Amino acid sequence: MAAFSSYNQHHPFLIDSVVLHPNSSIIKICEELKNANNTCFSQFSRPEFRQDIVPINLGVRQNRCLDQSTKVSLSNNESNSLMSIKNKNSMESSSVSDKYERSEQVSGQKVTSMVEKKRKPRIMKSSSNSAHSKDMREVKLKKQKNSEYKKQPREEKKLPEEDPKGYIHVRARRGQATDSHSLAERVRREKISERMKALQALVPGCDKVTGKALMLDEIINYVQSLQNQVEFLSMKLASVNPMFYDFGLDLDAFMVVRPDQSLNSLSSQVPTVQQCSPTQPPVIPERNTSLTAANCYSLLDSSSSLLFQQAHMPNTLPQGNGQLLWDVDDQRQKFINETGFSNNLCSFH
Amino acid sequence: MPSNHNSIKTRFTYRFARSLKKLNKNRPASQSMKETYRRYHMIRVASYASMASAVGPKRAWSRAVLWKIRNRTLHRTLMKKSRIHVLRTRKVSGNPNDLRKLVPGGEGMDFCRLLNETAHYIKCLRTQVQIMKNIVDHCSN
Repeated sequence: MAAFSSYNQHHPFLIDSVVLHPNSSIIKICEELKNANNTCFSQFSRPEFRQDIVPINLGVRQNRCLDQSTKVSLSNNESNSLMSIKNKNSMESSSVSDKYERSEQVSGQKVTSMVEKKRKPRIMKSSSNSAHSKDMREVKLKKQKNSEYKKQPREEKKLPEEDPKGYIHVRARRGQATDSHSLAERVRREKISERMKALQALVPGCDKVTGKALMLDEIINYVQSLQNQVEFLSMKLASVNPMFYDFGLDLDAFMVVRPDQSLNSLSSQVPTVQQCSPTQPPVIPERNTSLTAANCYSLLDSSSSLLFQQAHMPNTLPQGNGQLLWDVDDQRQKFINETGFSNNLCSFH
Repeated sequence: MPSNHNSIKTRFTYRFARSLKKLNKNRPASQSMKETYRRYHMIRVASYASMASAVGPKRAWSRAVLWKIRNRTLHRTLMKKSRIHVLRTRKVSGNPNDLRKLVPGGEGMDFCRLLNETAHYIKCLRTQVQIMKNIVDHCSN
């Protein structure tokens, strides 16, 4: 009982509850622990200690229906906690260092404890003797194990889906409502603002305006302008027909070149694509990559697939072409940069 | 993910070039205004369709585009009218409903999803515009 007496100095109510509802097994465990607890203490942190001590009391007080396995787990927890108590008694100064260690060690537990803090008032109401609310609220995790409160596990399940950033945000406004609706709403708003930020980065000139409405307006204008551009370009394409047929032939001719380049490593392939692009528009090499990468397209029309089959044969051909393409003047260099930029832009997902 | 974006871009260019080729074969450009107008419409539809099919059915907007194109024979006249109407009467205001009208399939989305789809749609449109520009440049040279 020495361990308990030492514990009594710090948290008198806990011992009370134990005395009120004596449980022989716990006392036994305590005695065992007293013998065995001279090992390293520093790793046991204070929140753990609190979290672990209280469930025992609860288990004593509230239900004897704990099955054997939970009792074992409780006893483990208790061992940790009691050791930490002893540690506290023996060397008070070390507790400070323990705290620091804790901050490094248990960041994950911190998060859960934040969640618990948030729900503190409800738990206080539900528990009959809420002398130490601080301890009581950390009971919650164990309570869930005992399946006393069906509501809490659900929320606990829901919250980990959010990112840790969400936790902090929710926790920061402590006075606010904590029911699931407002939490969900808050998360939703956060998501929207996040997407808005992403869009802001995407749409030029959107970072200057402030306010959601203006930003939306800017986005709408941009989408419209892009669509108009598509229309304009298709109008142009409609008028410049005959050249395009040659272009198509050109594409096919280029396809012949391409498969050899695909033999190179991917890293080298990317620059060549960008350097090839100035002479023929970037369409052409990229198209060829699509061919090499995926001849699985069943949609290939007969002529191009034929060409593709032919393409594998002449491997000696492309060298000259490649060298031709490699020397680039300044104008083309500019174009390269442009295409590189566009490549960055169209990173999907 | 360079491979991913590359694949979308390349798929688009490939499909678009193929459809253009086919279109040129079937319907060579003529001087008549009407014919050019028809060609313009077909090219535009081809570009949207190839972009949507390049993106695949994962995205809501591409699904909507494909659906519209597939069913366009059913209510072609209706679509034309409504489209012109929308484009002319839009006022500048930060109303999400305008964005819904612009992004295909955006009518049935919640706002969060709409923004997500819009971002993707903008990226795709940009690629589309860029590639089409390249083709036009090449053709006009």
